[in-house]
Amino acid sequence: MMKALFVDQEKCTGCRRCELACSFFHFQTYSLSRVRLHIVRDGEAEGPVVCVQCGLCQYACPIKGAIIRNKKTGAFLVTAKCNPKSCNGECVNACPYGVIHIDLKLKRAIKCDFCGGSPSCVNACPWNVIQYVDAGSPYALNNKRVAEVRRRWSVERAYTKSSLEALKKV
Amino acid sequence: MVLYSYAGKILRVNLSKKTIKAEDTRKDVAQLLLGGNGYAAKILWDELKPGVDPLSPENKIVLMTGPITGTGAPGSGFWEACFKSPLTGVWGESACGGWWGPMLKFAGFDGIIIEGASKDPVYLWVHDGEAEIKPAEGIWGQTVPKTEEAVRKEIGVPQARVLSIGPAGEKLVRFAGIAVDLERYAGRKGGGALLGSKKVKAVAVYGEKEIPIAKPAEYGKALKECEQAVYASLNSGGGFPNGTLGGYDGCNQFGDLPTKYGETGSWEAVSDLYVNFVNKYLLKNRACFGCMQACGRVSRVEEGPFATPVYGGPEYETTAGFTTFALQKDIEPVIKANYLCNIYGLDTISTSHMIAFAMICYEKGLITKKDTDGLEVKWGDANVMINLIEKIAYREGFGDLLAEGVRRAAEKIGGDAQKIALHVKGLEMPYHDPRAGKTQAIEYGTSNTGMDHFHAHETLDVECYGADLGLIPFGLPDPKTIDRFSEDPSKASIAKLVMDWGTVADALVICKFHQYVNLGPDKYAKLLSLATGWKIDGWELLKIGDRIFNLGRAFNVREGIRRKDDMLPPRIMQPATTGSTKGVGITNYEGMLNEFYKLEEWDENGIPKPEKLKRLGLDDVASYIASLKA
Ligand code: SF4
Ligand code: SF4
Ligand code: SF4
Repeated sequence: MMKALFVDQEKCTGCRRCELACSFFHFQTYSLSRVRLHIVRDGEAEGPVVCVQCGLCQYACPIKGAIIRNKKTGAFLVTAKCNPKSCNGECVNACPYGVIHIDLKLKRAIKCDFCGGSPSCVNACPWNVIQYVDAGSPYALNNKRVAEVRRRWSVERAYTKSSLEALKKV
Repeated sequence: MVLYSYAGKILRVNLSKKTIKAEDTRKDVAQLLLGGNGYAAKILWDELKPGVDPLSPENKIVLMTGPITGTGAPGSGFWEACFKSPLTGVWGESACGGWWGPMLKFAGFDGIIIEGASKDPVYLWVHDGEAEIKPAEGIWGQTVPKTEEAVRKEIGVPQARVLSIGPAGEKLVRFAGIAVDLERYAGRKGGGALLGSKKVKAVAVYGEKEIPIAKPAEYGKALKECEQAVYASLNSGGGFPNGTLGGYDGCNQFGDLPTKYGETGSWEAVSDLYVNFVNKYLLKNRACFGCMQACGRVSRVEEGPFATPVYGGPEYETTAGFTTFALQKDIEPVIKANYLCNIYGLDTISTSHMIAFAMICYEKGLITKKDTDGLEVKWGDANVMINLIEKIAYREGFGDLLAEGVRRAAEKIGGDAQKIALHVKGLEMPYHDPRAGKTQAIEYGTSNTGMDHFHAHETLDVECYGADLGLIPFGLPDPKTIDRFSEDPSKASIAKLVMDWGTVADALVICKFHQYVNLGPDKYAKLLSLATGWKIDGWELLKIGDRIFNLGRAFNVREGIRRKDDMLPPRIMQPATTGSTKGVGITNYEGMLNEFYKLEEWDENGIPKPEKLKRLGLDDVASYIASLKA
């Protein structure tokens, strides 16, 4: 079953535990420097912008096999073939969410890999903002949340523009 | 050699000479005093001449993080501002949450020492191991949100975190605060005025450096344990997921909600205030960096005379100050008042205190319409409140007097005003009533910063709410067995323990609300040990608290503080007139104080004994004190 991350921005408190957990899972260290999801604050709304596994990075990458798709989870993974020197970081340019980076120490691109199937950000969030769900269900979840949110906020205020776009693409 | 879990550098910015230097973070000082208020106390003890005018270029302000700041430890999103206070003239420190502190560390610095003064307005831009002094003429005079926006725009880094002052700081209002992101404040003791006197409008920080951890994998495991502990506590109703305002009704019932300028400790008229706030005005919670509790509130008033934009809404102290303390019963004016204080850069506690003080002076005829620019400063008048906030922020007319703080204002007003004024060492009383729990009285009297809820509020929670702060293994009696009204001298030992734990929290630089969620000294000692590679246990941590508290006391002694300055204002010792503390006054304050002195090893004048200072490893301080007595 393909998976996706559902983000409920309105509940996000901006604590960045998701970022810290992501960073720690991948690098065994706490920093914001090499994480792959961003907390974005856009006016009154804020929340993580996560990789939606849209695959544009793979599409843009000139090296065959540098980014591959894990058939089980649906996550696009960066492989050892990745060689940023030869490509001008096309994947970084292509990512609409800014969630793929070139890591200078590792000398390759890094991006969300669903932590191998148990996403750290999901486990870390105290407010259940990020959920790991079947790829089909974000629509349902989203509709439910939008209805809830409408009672207090206008949708424009509850969701940042980029995440609205992201939600459409899930 | 790596100083694990520290950034390893401290910036020294001299505004008179326009120089910037990065100094190494000193390992010996870090081991003795950690960071935050401890490290800063050492700097200010060494570098400030006694008796400097706090608003002169000779004063310095130290903005410090701590060893676990930004490492993901619960409550590690804080930073500290330390200085000689423009309001009190003694030791001043103010803690603040948000994201600024961690960001400073990611930018490569444990702290910033700002000294001298600039002629023209400037702001600092600290990023990726570097710093610049930039002109700020264009933003001088702006409110806090406009300043933040302009600075972020100019440096071109939208993720930068900006600390700033508003017009109140520029006008040297003695209780102007330092704002971060319009919702977190290093509010008390006038840090904003100090920055204003140095013509520093803002300090922007951004960086992406890693913080080296001595034992990262084990640290990660220990963090998980702490997380579990926090969740367990939150699930059983502890902590502050409802924000501090969630405790408002409880304080009212306990007689802990100072009412009518401290005449009593509760007011029936506000019993449904919190519910009303949640139902109508609260939009969501907001957290500081790394926090699971998210006590911050986002709120707004949609329409009407008190309409506000969406912003980080009022917490307990602000609400108490703008409601019961001034006999005003609605929440809307509070949200508005808080918003105004935030954008002008005012400490909400001292501001609301000054307004209630004006009301009582007006009632008693100590001031009249002639003094107040024609305003009828009547109890509970929300419009007058709003009006006075603006006057204070810009020091207009009557606001100029109030901007001086309660001690100076009372002196100028004269008559009975000085007897009425509620302060210790010049710091206005915050909103926990010491008649509701007597340990609080000792903390108010002996806190290095004056009548401060900052070190002291925990005791009230011990006595009224049964919070043990993780201190039972360190000798705290089971809070349920403590009689909150008793004034037995043994209360001093509770005060001492809580004071040490409260003090060291500001050296670790952690949020104190994490002392309520199963995170005691042992848990933080473990985190600290794994992060730094040092061996520190809970007892050692408390000892560091003792050391820092006494260093602060020595600083104050050097500034002339003695036993007489530890006395409580008479008004708050008188019996309360209503509620669960009706008829309760404070009768044995001096008895408790004597015992506290004994435990601290201070002489009858309140001066720490040199032997004790030596034992704490503060040899140079000990010899200064010894020379003082000779
Ligand atoms: S799933 Fe893992 S890699 Fe992806 S954003 Fe979350 S924590 Fe990071
Ligand atoms: S952990 Fe959850 S609440 Fe915290 S920033 Fe991430 S999404 Fe928001
Ligand atoms: S409890 Fe509140 S003040 Fe403390 S770190 Fe969390 S959000 Fe910040």
